[in-house]
Amino acid sequence: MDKLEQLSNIRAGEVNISQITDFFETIKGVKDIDTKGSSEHIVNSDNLREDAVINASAEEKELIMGNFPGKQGTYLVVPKVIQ
Amino acid sequence: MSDSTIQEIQTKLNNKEMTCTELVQEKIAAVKASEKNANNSTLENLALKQAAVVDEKIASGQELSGLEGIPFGVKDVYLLKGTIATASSNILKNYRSPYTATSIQNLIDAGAIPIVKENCDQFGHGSTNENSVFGAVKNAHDGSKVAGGSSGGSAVNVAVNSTVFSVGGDTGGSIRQPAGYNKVFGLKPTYGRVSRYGLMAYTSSSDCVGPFANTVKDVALTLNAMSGRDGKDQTTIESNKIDLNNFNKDYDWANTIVGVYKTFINHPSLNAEVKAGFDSLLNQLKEKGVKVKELDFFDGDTLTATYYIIALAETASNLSRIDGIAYGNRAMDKDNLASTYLDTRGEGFSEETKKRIIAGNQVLSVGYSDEIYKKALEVRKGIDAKFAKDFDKSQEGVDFVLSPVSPLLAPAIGDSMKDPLTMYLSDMYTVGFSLGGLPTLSAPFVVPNNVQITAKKGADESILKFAYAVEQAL
Repeated sequence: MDKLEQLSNIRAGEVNISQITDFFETIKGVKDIDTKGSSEHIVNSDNLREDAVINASAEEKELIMGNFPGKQGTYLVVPKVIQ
Repeated sequence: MSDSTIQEIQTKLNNKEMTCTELVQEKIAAVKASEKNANNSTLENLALKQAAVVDEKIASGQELSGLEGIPFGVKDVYLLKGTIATASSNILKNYRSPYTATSIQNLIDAGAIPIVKENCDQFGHGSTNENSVFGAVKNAHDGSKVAGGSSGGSAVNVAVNSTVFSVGGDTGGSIRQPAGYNKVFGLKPTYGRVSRYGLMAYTSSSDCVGPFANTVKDVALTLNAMSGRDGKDQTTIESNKIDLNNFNKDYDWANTIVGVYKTFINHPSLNAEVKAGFDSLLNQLKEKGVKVKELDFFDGDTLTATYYIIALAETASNLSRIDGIAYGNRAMDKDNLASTYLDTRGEGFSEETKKRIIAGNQVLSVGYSDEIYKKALEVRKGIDAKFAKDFDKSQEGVDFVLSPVSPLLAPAIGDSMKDPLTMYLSDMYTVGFSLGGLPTLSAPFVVPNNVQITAKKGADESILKFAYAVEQAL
């Protein structure tokens, strides 16, 4: 669990994932999958939008800044990265 | 269009039997007075401003059209500029949306008025609407039972008429199942028909935006307003508007073939009352001349496992961005960045959400990715292939597949928290259609829960035409 906590960036506490991971055994047991006729249903790459830089409005910028969890005056405070 | 609640309300507004401001005030009062715990926050000031604009239009002698003046609810996983969007979580409890989701903006552009952000399972993680920092949502018809989830608040608001319609989100059944538990219509459209831009992502490959409403026509009207290709969501597709002129009581029943999956109706966990209600509907359809064909399909355990493995992997990736650095409730005064992440996410997410993120990271890790995740993707292709065959009319395929929304009755509040495995397995009838990206309507044509009507991809209109005919016939 320690490795999964680190991988997930979550202090897990009492979390028990065993009921969910039981699904892993179910999927391993699936045999003879017939995929003939299946279609990819996600992205149509023939119709991509143009790359463009679009500036956020002043109102949007203010809302984004307003959501920032740590501030000191006009500075945005982030946790210490280098020890 | 007399069987449309939306149309009835617009007629009253046009005839000046009430003002839009009075209507919005009445609905917001109902939301505030509700004891169902269906709502996270109201949008009173915004709604009343929009209502005043509608009233000015009526006063100037103009007729309302589209969805003008219609109050609606929004599941609290959609962004609406300047308002709080919590996903029913602690970590985003104070998060203010910097922009508006395309689906919600489309509704606002059509004149509809958002009045409330609705309670839901945290980030869509749940099937009972108990996984919320705002507490469990109570069923519209029995307060001791769950509302279903994850879009429980939205279903309840429509069922008790606090909203005319509500916008939910359906990843593995989150619109269809609560619609069933609360006896309203709920549509999961074809994947890609409605933009996901501005919806907090759970499982991007099956997340769908859809409406709850009290009539089939209202489902169609709201779907039309929401749908359309969106440059901000590359998975959206072009779609034609649903033509309500095609809705007809005189349906061609005799040329309609309905499929029923044997693995669903023969599953040992299927509640006897649910089965009896479903069989009764099939008999009524047979009497009208509809042909019913039994079909083979994947078993419920395989469908549930495939869905959850893919969902876990995608939600672990999608929620990795919520770490308290640029937004979210950050755990302060930690020694270093790693501790900040661990504690912010440990304190900010619920047990159920942490469980899904951690299991999702396990699914994607070395030693599991090939054997588990890629295998689930392969099974998903098999499910897709089976649907293509079942709906292929050139190979004696069916027009629709009918199924119950859940094998179970709505559980009592608190029961699923003690037995989450039963909750996961209760999704077995809904998740397959999500994996296939198929349109599916949850309709209150049977007791005790709804029936699902599924068609091939893109056939949303066919479903609604059929459902309208059934709605009129029953």
